[in-house]
Amino acid sequence: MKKLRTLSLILAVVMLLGMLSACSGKQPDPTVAAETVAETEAAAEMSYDELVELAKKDGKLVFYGANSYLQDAATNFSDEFGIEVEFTQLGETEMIEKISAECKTGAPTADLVCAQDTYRVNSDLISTGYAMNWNNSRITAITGEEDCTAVIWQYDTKMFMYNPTLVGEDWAYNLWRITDPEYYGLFTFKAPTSEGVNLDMLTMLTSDVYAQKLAEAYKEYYGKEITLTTDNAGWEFVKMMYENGVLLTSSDSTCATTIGDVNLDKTWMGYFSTQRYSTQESKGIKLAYDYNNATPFAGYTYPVYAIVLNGCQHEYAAKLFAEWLLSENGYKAFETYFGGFSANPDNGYATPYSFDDVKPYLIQDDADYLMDARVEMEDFLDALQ
Amino acid sequence: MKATLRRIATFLRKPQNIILILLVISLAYLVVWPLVNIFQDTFLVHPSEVSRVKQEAGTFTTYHWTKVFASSDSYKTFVQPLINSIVCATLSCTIAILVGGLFAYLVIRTDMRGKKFCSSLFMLLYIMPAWTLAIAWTNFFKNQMVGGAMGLFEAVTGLSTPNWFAYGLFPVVVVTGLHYSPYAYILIGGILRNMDSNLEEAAQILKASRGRIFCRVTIPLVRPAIMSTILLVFASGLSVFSTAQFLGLPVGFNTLATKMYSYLNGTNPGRGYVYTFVMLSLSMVVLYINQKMLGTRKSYTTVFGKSSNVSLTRLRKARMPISVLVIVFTVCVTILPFISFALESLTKAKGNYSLDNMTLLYWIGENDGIGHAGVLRNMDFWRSLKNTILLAVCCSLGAGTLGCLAGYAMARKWGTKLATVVNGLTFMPYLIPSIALSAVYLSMFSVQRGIIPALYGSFFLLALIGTIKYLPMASRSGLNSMFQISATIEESAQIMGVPWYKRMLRVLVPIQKTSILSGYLLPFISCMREMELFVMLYTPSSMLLTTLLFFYNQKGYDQFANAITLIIVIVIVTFNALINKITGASIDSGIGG
Repeated sequence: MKKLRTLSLILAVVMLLGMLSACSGKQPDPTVAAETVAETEAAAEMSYDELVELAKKDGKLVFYGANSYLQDAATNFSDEFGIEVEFTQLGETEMIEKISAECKTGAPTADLVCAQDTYRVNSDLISTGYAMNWNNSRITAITGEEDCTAVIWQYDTKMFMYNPTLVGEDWAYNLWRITDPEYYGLFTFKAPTSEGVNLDMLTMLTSDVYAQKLAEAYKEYYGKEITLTTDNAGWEFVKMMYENGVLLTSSDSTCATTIGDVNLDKTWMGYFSTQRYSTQESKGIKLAYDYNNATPFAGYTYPVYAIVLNGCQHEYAAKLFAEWLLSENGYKAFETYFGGFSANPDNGYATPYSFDDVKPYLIQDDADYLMDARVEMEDFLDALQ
Repeated sequence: MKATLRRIATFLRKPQNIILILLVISLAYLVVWPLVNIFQDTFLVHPSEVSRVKQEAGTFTTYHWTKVFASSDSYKTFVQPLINSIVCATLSCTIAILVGGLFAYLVIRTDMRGKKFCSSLFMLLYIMPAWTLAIAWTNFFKNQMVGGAMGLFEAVTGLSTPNWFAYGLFPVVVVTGLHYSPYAYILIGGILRNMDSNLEEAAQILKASRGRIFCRVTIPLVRPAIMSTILLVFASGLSVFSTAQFLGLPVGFNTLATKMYSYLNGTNPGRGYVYTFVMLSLSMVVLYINQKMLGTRKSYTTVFGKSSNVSLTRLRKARMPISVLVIVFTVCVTILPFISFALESLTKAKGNYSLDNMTLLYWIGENDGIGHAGVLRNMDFWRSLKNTILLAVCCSLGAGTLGCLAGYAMARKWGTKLATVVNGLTFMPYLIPSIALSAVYLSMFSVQRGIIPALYGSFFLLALIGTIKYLPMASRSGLNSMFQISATIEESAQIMGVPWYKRMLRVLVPIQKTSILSGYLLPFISCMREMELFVMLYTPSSMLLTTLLFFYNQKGYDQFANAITLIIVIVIVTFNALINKITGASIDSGIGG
């Protein structure tokens, strides 16, 4: 009885405090987004000089991104406009979580985020109203996108690479090699649970177009029609890849050093950022990829978005930065970024080939399909691990 | 009515009553309410789950519970990680008790050489975060089969370690067990030190064999300490996250905590909250079992009266070999990790330890090739170091002061219902896994609730959660120190008309200065090395050394990660030694009471 009374006392206090907080978590007002649309539609007509003027009045820009090159871009922006910039590099998944939590408070610390996981950009930032809906005809003229909720300023790429030390060039001619029992345990990529774009890529493989291409490539590699235990060749590829001892790492850098060790007695394959190819000399590793000689694809390309956040403190500085990233000066920091291509085709790139050259050989994002199928892929992988 | 009011007024005239009431209210909100909150979260559709659950955000759903317990992949996604967590906790406990207990016996009850050296060094295992040992393990034992570049062991011996040895359950268990073995050393050692050896000698006179004496006399006497260690280590082992994340991921070894983290950080946080709830329930079960086994516990340490005679067991011919063995073991598990961190941070290409591959690029370089300056030139590092020290000071002051006050109030009102409730509430955060508590606070404080503003993003939230998490240590330390002071001392001052705050500051605190300071030291050190508790709550402006390390590790910037690890460990050890030197406070007196 005494215990019961003590328990009742605790519960009563908890309930009282609960009532105080009243389960009434104040969410950001969704109408704010609508108001901002109207407000920013007017701003869409703002000239570049006017935008610069207002951005300078803001005086500061706080933004997060997953790419370390953004630090140089931040410095260049600061030098050009005299606006103080605070950039923080975060892991993609962690960054989306942090941004969502900040936006939930109604007053995010960050003004802008450079994110690349198309699914989570849509599900966590756009659908929730955290991303600001605004327009800018100058941006539209470059990207072709009507609204600027998520400005695509860059296309990044990841490639299926291998170590050429033992096998020479043109070795990764068919992707199904990854599923070949002869190469058991010799494929690695960053765990999709920590890398949204890897989940996006795997999801895209299961779309009708890419699944069909995979089915044809299977026949070419194994010399027979594929026998399906799943819905299509895309799902089958993912399943066989996991069953063939895939090594999941915590980073693209680890993947690169894993497969690139010159002393390895077996040839590894990996799937990671193309940028790692350019750092092989400094890391003492050997990497190769065949962008136009791989069946059915050599890699994956995904957009990198600049997203201005609703309720941010430096709205115009953020908008200016999003627009500036598409300019020659804005993209200068990325001209040496191997495997990345500006959404403005006039800007330079580090690879010996252009984005138009490599695009046909790459898997590409389809936001609608990702919204439909990615959750299914997450659960599918969860059950495979 | 008047009589009731008078009773209340008399009740509130005593500071200990006010302290207890305030603690009940604040801890109910900060410890119990989060548990209610998390349960609620398991039935809600969160914004990122709309396309998954096909319902509007904020609506009621049983999706998460069904997914965890009744879906086709329940075994792989829930049962297997659950088994892994339980196995991990059980084996870690066993290792901690065997290693710590044996170490305590050798140091305290035998004539082994180098006791002081070994004893001080052994405490490093506790001072160093568990994940630094995990990183050290990887540095030494990684193999080319999983992870490309070879580790130090393979580089030196040419022998490749098998996968099970390098990654997965085995290293996770060994690392966790070793990390918690100082607990066993302190708790069991405390009893061995104070145990009257006359009991053993009496058995010897009665012609009992050494084995029989050990099993029938020594072990039963240290049983309470063993049970306390089991409680501490099992609860911690159940929620092992960072060690499992570092050593388990490459071979797909998952625990409840790593699964929970991936769901919370992914697109199904509701499912993560179910895992959180399960982990909390398991911890409560452990506490319940422990209480049943120990009967009516007064605290998690049980030390008998002062020994009248401690005689040392002579190791005779085995003295030198055992001493050498213990010294080598202690050096291997404490000093070698430092060497590995330093070496790894200096290598240009991983796995190549030749001199021409050594570089200071990752310490003082301008750019590593992908835009990162060396650690010492990196502003993020200096900002994180400042934040870490500041946070450790805040948590230490918060938890230490609250713990001291709680200890005082509980000691004065020991045996009353209010004191019992506060005693339970102050201990509860210990049982809530750090990562789970972090998830609850993220959910609770990311929006304004009633009069409580949205605290996410503020430094205050980090200090608050740290204070709550380390309160069990500080309150135990405070309770033990206050128990040792007779109430008559305070009463004398009271009769002289000395106000309460002066009695505390001029009488009670000075008497138990060292013991109370130990209650401040423990939260300080724990906070300096904490990762799980803050990894979900920090924002870029409140980046800490440990979260910076987590970022480097997740990105695969191993050299940076090793450099930061080395710095963290050196900073912690330095602070610990300094505080110990200046104030006399020590970790072992904090744990052991």
